[in-house]
Amino acid sequence: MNESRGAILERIRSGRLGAPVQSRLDPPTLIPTKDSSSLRDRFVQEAEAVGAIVHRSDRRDLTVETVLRILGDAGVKRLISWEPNDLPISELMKAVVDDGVQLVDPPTPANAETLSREWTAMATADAGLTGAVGGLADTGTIVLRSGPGRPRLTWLLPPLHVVVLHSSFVHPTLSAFMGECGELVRCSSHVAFVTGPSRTADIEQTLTIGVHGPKEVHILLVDHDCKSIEESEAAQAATVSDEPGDQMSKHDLVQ
Amino acid sequence: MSQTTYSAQLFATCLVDAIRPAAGLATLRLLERLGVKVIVPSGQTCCGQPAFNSGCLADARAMARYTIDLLEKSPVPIVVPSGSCGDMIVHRYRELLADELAYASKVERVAARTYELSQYLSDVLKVQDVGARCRRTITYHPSCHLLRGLGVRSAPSKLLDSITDARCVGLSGAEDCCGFGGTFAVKMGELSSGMLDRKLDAIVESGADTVVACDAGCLMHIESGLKRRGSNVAVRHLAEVLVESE
Amino acid sequence: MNSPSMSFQQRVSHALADGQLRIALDRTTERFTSNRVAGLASLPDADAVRDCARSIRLHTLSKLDDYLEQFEANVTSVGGQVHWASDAQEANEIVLDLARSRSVKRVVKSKSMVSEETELNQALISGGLDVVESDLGEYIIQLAGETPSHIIAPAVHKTREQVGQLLADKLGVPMTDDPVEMTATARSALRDVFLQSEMGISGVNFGVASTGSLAIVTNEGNASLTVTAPRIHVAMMGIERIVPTLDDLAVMLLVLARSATGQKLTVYTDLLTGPRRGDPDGPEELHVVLLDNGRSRLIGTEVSEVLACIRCGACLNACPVYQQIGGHAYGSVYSGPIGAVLTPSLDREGPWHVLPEASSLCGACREVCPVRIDIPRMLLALRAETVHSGKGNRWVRVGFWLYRIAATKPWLFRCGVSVVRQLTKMFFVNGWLLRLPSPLPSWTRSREFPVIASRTFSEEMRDREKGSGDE
Ligand code: SF4
Repeated sequence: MNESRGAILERIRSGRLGAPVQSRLDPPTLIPTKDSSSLRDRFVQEAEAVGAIVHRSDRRDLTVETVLRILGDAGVKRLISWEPNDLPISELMKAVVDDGVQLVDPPTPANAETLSREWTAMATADAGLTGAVGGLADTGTIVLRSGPGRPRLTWLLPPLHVVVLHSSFVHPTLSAFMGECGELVRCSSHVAFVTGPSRTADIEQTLTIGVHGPKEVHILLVDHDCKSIEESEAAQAATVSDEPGDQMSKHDLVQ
Repeated sequence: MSQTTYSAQLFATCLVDAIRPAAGLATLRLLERLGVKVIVPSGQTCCGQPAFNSGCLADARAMARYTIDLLEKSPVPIVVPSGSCGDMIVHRYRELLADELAYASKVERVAARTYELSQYLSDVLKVQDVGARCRRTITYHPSCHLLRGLGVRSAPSKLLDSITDARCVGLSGAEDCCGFGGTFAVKMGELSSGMLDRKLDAIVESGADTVVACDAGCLMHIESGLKRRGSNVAVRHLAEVLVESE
Repeated sequence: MNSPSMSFQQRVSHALADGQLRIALDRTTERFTSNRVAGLASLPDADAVRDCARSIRLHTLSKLDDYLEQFEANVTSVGGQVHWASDAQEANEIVLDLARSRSVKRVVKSKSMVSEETELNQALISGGLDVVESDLGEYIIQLAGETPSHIIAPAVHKTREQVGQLLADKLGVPMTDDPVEMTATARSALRDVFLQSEMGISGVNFGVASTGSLAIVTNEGNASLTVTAPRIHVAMMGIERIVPTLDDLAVMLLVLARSATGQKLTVYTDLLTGPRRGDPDGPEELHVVLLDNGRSRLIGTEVSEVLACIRCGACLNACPVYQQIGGHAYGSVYSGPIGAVLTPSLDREGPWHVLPEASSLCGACREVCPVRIDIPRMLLALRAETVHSGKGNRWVRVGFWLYRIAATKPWLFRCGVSVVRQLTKMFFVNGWLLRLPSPLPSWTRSREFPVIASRTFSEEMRDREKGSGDE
């Protein structure tokens, strides 16, 4: 290690010499209720307040139908999607393709050693389709996690982002999510907490939507059984109990 | 409060003493009218705040020790008609004299029984209406150290609201500083004037004919600004309007 | 930090005379303030959360060395690399070396105050690299060739008309004063930059010691793109930006956005833990540059609390001085109340001792700070240090020394008051006021000078005593 490392640590040590370690206070519990229906309502209310559009569905076919309608209404011709197994409803992608939407593949196969980083094709997509690993009720946030079948540019590049969130994944707060699913952070290179569409207020603090990220975010909050959800719940449970390294390889096998 | 007899010592502060004696006299009269037996310790000068704020700590310490010794002579509560000096005694003396063991307990004792005037009226005497009467349209400027230092937010307005025949009007940006800040107003004159201008605009806009504050520094600053503008808005210390009974 | 060429007083005069600046600040300050109030009000127990957030920051600082080592170990274990930089120059060299050794030509940046502090852009550009800022505000000031004037809103000093003109001049688009159109222009101009840069440089809001994660928040999504598309990600952070755990991070995020913009959470809160792991995008390499640049020396001093700052910018928006002069007048990267403490603390040799003087000590900053940093107390400590080291104004020092002599001897105090009374009366009568020695004229330019009362309070009291004695 370089000299600076030692010098910096040494300066800190001599500065804190003789001073006690200060204690941390416990954070106050902000949302006492864990009642799931009010959690979902709160999620919808907060997500809408930040400009996301929430669609609720309690039937698998309705969910598929809604996604097709959203894409159709927006005139989407080209779509980036996560791998079918990484979406809460595995048949969703096929339905979209059957509907005549063209899929834009990431430039390089998922397991390639090096990426070509030729993003221009992806940049032409009109929409991105993903599945959330969590929702935060008190802020209307969706939680996305990168991985082999889950390119990050999907939720970043296209002007429209459609994300499916199973309602059992809604947590009261960020703190609650970290408490229960902190391991997800450890074992993913990128976990994004996305709260509404991209915005800026850099010009005179005037709110403008859709700067670099999507202008529109549609959240499908679904209540129905979906097989793949159970799978991913199981995967999540496994994640929590495993070492990050092990978990990663296991996840790779799932793909 | 009629049964108990209250005693207090009045620490007038240097600015009231030299620039605004009317505020000191009004405080004295007001307290006496409310049945308080008031002592005015003789030999009182300055709490040391100006030196403290300018970083002249040795000088500030000397003045703080002097003031503490003076106020320690009597065990009765200390009333200060000025938020910033009150804050100095209640909060800053502790830091300033932290290394002086001989003063540690004295500082705590004096700090614990020091009150700014409106604080004393509302927290100790528990009065909200002192029976004042005047025909004024009043706006209130909450001075920074009273508001954010001592945390006195509503007492002065409540007292003003109780004045018969007076009308209280809001002040936009009320909680913004008037730009005084002691030597700041001299060292950073332009900056300070800019801040004062905003305050004066708000005062004029409020439609009040009288602006009231609880700190001789702000009063002096606002008054000198209004005077330069040729405005006829009157500038009064809280005590001065509370003793009126026209 | 480079020293500005004008004196502070000159910069203040400049700023006060700048009508456009006044308009820009007036248009935004109010919005900032009402947003922040609403933001904190949306927390059920804001005071308790703030206390908790403060305790987390102070706890971290009280064993920062341990947490830094833990952070480093965890970044390394997930495949990242940590570089330690004692000063700005070392930090810039680290980044430049990384770029050179990996044949990087194009660099895209998302907002980083630390890189502003080290003046990284200049270093990279003179090293032959193309550097483009991607935060809209930063992009605007990069086009204008300026520096940020606010921690979270770098271009807050510009009116929308000025921005419209700038875009028209630099990009050849039609002039507009509509922020929506301007934003669209920037979006399309920056798209290719994200996708074609080989290196992305970001700041870091918090580094999580227990996981080695980097938390980066933006509303625009520019940081997310900056750390996703390019092959190499370099994250610049001050050594104090550590939180121990993800739980602690969650608490800090409760107050950060609320205090900064009034949002409950920023639109994009990205947690990066190492480079890509078989993902089809994301960086191949992740480098964290830990910058000291004067910070470690502050631990254990009277201003160590300044390291608890989470750079939310709330104190700038609350500050009446900042509102008068904006950020540039401070002459350094960090402006406003926090800058007035941070700048002279980090750079002891610089010409900064005037900054702590630029405050009326009104306490608005302390009141709004989400981690309750006592900025006024530290301004006072810095003022005292200036006096102690003999750098301060001699006039003031001698004045207070005389004043103290008088104020601790009541008879002398009374004499002093009457002498000054005579003097001021004379000046007033003869109208000599404006010819008073410096610095008094700066008072009288806009205000009258107060006269000493013809009978002081203590004179009244003495008479009263005499009167009652006579009875
Ligand atoms: S000092 Fe406090 S209010 Fe100011 S930027 Fe830092 S955290 Fe925010």
